[in-house]
Amino acid sequence: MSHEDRDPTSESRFPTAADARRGDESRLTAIRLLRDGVTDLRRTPSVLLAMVLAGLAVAVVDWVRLVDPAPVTEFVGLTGGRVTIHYGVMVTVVSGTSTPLSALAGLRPAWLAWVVGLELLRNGALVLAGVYGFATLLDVDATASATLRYAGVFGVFAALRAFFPTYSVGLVAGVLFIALFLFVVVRLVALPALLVTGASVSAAVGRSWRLAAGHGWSLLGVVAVVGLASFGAASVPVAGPVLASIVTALQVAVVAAFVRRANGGGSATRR
Amino acid sequence: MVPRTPLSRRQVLAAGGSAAALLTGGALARRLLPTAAGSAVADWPMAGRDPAGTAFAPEADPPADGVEVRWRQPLATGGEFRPGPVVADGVVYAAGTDVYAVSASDGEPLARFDRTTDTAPAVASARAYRTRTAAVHESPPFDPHRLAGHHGRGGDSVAGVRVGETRWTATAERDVDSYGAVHYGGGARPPPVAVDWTLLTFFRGTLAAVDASSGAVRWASEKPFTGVRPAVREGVAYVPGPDGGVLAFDVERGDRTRFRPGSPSADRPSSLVATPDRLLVTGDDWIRSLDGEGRVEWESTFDASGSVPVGPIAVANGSVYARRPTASGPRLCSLDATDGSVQWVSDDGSGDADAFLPAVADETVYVPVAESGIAGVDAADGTVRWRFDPGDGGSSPAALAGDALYVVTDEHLYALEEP
Repeated sequence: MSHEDRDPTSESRFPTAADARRGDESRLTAIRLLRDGVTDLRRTPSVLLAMVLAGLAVAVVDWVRLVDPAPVTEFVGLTGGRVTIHYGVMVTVVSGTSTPLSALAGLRPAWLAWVVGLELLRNGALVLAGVYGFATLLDVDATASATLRYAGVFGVFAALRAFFPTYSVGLVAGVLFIALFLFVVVRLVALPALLVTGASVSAAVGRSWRLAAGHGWSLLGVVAVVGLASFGAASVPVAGPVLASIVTALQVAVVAAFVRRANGGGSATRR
Repeated sequence: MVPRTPLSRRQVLAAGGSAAALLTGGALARRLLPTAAGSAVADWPMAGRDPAGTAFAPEADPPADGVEVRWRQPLATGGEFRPGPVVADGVVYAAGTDVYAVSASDGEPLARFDRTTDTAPAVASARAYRTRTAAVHESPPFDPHRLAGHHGRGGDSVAGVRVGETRWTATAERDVDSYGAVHYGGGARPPPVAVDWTLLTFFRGTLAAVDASSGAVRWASEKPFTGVRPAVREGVAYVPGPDGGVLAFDVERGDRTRFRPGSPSADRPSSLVATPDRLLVTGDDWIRSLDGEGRVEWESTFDASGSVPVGPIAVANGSVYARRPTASGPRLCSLDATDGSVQWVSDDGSGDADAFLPAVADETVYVPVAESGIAGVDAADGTVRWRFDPGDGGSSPAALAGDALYVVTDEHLYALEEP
């Protein structure tokens, strides 16, 4: 394979959905993508192991944060009497604790460093496991610049979650917002995988958007299954993040399978 | 389909090592984190002044022979409840329709917490923060009751924007609504108690220990019972049991023991004060002193045509200051703490069940009076030295800090000083 073929910025490597349909006669369904993901995880257990280790890091950070003196917001799972879809575009593990921004004001410097350090450990583990998983499954070399871009986008999404204001809206507005939110999430499903292949952020967003065209319902099914399974797994006390990390590993495998299939069945790049 | 790549021995070893390092680090952190020491709060940081509930400020030097207004701030209370103010680190916290924080020196407003409460806040050390936590007990009628932890000075300023006002909210509510009938100037809900880093509070009938820094509920009582302000001595919180006895909870771990057994016919205690030598327990028309084993040292019963809560009481310098029924209404009285004998009955004192709580410092007892205002009573003989009646409604219990006395009326928060 020529050097040009391995150029991660090459637009021709990522055909449109129409191209994908021409190159693969079988229809891309959620079930097929999930089945591919499970198969790929079984063939490459190191991806699952990496994500479980990241889940363990998340669980340990939760375990410590629950007794340290800085406030946390605790995850409310199934015992809270509700079910939600927890799907992170930039693959993440549902953690049992999060740090409200308002709690950071006025912290003593040592405790601020402690909280920031633990958050870096938790999120750093997720970034590394995600990059490793996509790189392995897409058979690409994850460069330092690609990893940094991935980490940067991961940080942006984390900041959006932390800063995004909460509003009470009416039913119609709420349904419209949820529909819009799911539409955007589905269109960005392939974003983390494309970042690992070395695409720039804008190129990865554009390609992810185009790759999802024509596969919206299938990807929505994936988002729903993975999101609900993540929520259910994270509801287990203490070990929740470790169990949820197995679901996250499946998400990585499914997204990688989608990118490969949308790419005509081959690898994103070949070493 | 991806090629099959089984785990290598190196990968397994690396993963095992990483997992072991994570678990070991987490376990070490959990073991070492709780070892730092909290610091006691001076001034008057909670209703009853200290964890024991003595309402005695030995280091304060408030006005004794008369008072004049140092400053006053408008404070809307709605007239229904007047929880006593609390003072810590140069800040006075007073609950009205909201909770206000003002400078103790000049009354300058510092913060306003949008919390509806009918009981006094409590100020506690916060391990992770540069300032203490001001905890406010909220009791919405239909939602879970909760404790809200606020930045002691209302937040930090970042680029001109106030941030970090609310640190946390905590609840451990169970579905029993049960509070005692004794008031500390507010409603019947007992005020939170600050014990170093921990806040003890009732969420309806559940006693809980809340970390003042993180807001984490460290433990909560399993069986709900009547909520009364806990009295804390040497790491043990005493509260009335459901059968007229006294329960003891280890403040750190929540372990419960029975300090004094009760019986179905026993009079239910309604307030407690712990001193190094004894536990003073009060009910309607009676007061008992219990020794370290929970045995009754002495008991004093007041004759009354109707039930009059004797407490909340103040304990200072070997005397107990309580409410005694008389023909002309309840009056402040002094008992000898060693045997319960009556030392004097004052000509003045509270007939207002919602506002009675004496405060003691410098040989003077400060007590809300029945009609309105507050009186300074000589601790030695019960004579009234002065009365302060600004004419804007009844007075809350007093908070004593530095050389001032702080009270809330229906319309104002006052700082009073010696003329």
